[in-house]
Amino acid sequence: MKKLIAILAVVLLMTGCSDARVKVTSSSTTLLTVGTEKITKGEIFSSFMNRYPSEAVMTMATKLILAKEVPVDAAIKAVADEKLAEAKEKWDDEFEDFLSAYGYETEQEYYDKELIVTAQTDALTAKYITDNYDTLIATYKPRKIRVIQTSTQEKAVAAIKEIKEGANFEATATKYSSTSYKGKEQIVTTESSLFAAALTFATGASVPTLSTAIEDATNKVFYVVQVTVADPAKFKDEILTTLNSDATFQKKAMLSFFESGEFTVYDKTVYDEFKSYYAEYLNQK
Amino acid sequence: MVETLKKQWFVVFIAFLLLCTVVYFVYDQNKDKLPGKSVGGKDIVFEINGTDVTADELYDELYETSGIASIYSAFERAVIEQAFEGDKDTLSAIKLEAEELTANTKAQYEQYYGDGYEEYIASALKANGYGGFDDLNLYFTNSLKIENMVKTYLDANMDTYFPAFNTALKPRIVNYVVIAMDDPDKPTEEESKHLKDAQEAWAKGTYSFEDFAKEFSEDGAASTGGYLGYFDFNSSTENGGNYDNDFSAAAMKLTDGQVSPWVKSDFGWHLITVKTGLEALQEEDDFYSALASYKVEETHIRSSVVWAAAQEIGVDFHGNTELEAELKKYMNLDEAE
Repeated sequence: MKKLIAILAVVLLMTGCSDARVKVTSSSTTLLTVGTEKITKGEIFSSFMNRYPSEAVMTMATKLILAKEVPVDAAIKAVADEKLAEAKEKWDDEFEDFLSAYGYETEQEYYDKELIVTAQTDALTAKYITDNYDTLIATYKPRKIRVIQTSTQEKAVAAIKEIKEGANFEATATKYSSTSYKGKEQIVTTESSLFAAALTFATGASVPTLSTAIEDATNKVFYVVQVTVADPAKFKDEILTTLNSDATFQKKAMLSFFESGEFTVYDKTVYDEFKSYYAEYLNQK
Repeated sequence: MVETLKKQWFVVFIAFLLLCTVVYFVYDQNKDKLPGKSVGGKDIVFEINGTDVTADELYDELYETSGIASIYSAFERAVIEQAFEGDKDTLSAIKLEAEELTANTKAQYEQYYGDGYEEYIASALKANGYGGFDDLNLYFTNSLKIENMVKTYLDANMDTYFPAFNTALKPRIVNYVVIAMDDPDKPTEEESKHLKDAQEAWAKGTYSFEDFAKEFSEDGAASTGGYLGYFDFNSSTENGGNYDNDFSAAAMKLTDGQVSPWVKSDFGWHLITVKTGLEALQEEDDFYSALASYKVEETHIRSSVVWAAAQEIGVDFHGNTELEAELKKYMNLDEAE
């Protein structure tokens, strides 16, 4: 019976366990002493943890992903070199001021912390898109389309008639389009910002086709959509370029690598901040 | 053993139930707790791709971005808490004002954020190097103490700082009268009558400015003799301040004790008078704030005050000259200081 009570006592003690909070080693090391008060490494670390450490964790985790997936090689350096040359040409005599305005003390710091990291991030997105190309195509349905937006249904119908009779799409757009939709060919995906019904028509097309007048009753306008290329295989390179520069896919890429890297947080402060600000990057329960 | 268990089956059954209950209770209490991880005696903050990142590595990363700012916060706080030497009256005034500021801040945050207001205050305090909500009073106490220390320093060094400031910003204390009008270009009959009555009364020359303001001025400052407070070149809207440009221009033209002619602003008609003497200015906290922040990059008054006080109570970097240089650079202090 005594043994049982002892076991129960140990088990009950476990209920006192709290959430994990990390500490630095040698936290009692004194950095400086003011009068009789010691300012320790542990105290400074606590103040760091009070000031949104999740941002730094995000940066560190991203660096580790970049280092593993797209290490700095000649190709990455070449991209960074090109961007550096562009920046120098653009800012010319004011290049030093430009660096200073963005918080970089030296050109090397700008190169390492900005240009190399950006080149790696772009390469990471490209890697994600290439590795998941078939799935992404099936999910986001890229199509090449042209769009006209008119203020009345009559204008939309007239435009459709002229296009069917062989009129140039862009010329017809210039004639009927009331806004910035000038009929230029563009690539869209299911994530693009276009009136929903027009986008659904475009991404749902399996062959080149021309829509009827699509009404946007809220904004009292009509769309005419022409799908010029419905087979993504015919413009793969353009798709890669388009998706790579799209912030939506850059984020999807990063999220994917956080998930595959089994990103796990072991500190409650950082965990709670991630829940608040970067919830989609957390996969642990 | 088996025989004993058979004989005591009821006790065994109860013990088993008890064990199950406790195990479930422990599970239930811990299921939502975040587990920690330690490797080689070092706490792990996170892992990704099988790589553990320690708290020490996070410290280094954060030190690079905000380390010296955090150290300065802790340094300044330690200096203020130990070096402040106020007499009993000053301490008492600071205590009262800190309590008032604390109560007002809580009320304002509660009104704005509702029930969760404590969290917002805690967040703001943490960003300033304090522990959390409970430190609000301490934060205000320390702020008032450093304000007082800066004031004492400026009083002792007025000859150094005041002349250039006085020439550039022409500081003054303003009292005013307003005959309020919704549209001064198209006054109503009643507004015009108020103005005429006031102008005739002032023309008689029998009123002191303060008495005249108390009787004729038409806003909340009337009861204090039209007291507006500290004013300088930067007070007008065209120079970044809050005051009507015509009112400001008239106030800035006056010499010590002079009363302006009637002046029209967007709010009505005014009489204005000013005090420009140093003694009058020294009654105003806003004067010290303006003086302390004037050309702050050249003078670094607050840093100088904190550093001088630190020297008095003693500061030891334990041989870390790099940290000392870094802190001085952050405080905009000369190497010689």
